[in-house]
Amino acid sequence: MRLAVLIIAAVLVVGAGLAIIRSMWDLRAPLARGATRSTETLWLVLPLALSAALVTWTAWVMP
Amino acid sequence: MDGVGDAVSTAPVAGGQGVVRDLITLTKPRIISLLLVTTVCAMFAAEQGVPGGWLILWTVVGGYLSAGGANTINQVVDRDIDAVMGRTERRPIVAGRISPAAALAYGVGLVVASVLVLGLLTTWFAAALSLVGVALYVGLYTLWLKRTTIHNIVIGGAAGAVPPLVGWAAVTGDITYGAVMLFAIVFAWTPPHFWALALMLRDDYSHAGVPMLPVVHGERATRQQVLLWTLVMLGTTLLPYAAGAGVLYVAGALVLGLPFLWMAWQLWRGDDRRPWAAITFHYSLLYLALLFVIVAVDASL
Repeated sequence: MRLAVLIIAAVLVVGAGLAIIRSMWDLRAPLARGATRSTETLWLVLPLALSAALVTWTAWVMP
Repeated sequence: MDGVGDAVSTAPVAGGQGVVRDLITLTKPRIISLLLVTTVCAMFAAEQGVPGGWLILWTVVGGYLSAGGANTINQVVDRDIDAVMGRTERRPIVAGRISPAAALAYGVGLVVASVLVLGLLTTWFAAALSLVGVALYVGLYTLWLKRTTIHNIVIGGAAGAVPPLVGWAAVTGDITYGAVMLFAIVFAWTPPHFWALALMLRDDYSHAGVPMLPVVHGERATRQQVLLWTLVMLGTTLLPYAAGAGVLYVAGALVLGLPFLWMAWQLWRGDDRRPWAAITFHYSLLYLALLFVIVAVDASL
């Protein structure tokens, strides 16, 4: 049961995360001083990469 | 974060009572109340039961001082934005009832007091985490990201996700998987919550020149992101069950999360017969509070 929930959670987090990155990828133009294309890419990818890492961590600590 | 609920009592009040009221208003008490719910419920989860009453009290006091200090400093920095937004134009600093210098001193004083209260009466690790939260909110969100990127509230959401870490660390003196998951849940909850609000306040943000997603890329793109982040949030809330949380928790996460997803879906469809942005925003507040109560109850059983 817990494995099934983990798989569902992984599909939601990774699937929606990839969809977010894909939909926002072309919107990375810097808007103001203090922003660059690199920082915009970082802000887009970092939270979703960390979310995917959490899925991995959960699989690691599963009872 | 600067939500709808922070417009607490912005009417001018004369005399010493008015000053006290303004000082309380600067801390944004209604927003802090939700942060403290996540803090206290995280304490129950960390304790796997009921923490001591004094520990809860001092953590709540320290948490309020910390968030109140950060909110006050935020209003000093953002007074130019607040002055041109209808929702915030009557705040104490903008209205001239409290000077920016006095407010800054007050805010810094609250933060210092919070570190002392948390450090001396809970754990120094909790105090350090609260300071990290202030730094994220003032430094990362307010001073850097808010005016420069459409991802402002996503990354800035980390500041609002720190209170569960503080609560957890106040009990155990460290941070483990459970604490990080509570952080992640609040972090993933912030984009759908805040972009629903931004849809409602798009004209205000546009007038103030704040690059919120609906201002820069329009409502359709924002509605899509609300839906996608709701999916990320729902998935994130399921992870603790895989790691050992109880059936009560996962049932609660689904019972609360599926209506959230349905609202985000309606918002994305663009059905304007009902104000789905407002409905989603207000439900998100109830959602987070109830989810954390379930976390606390499930961990205590």
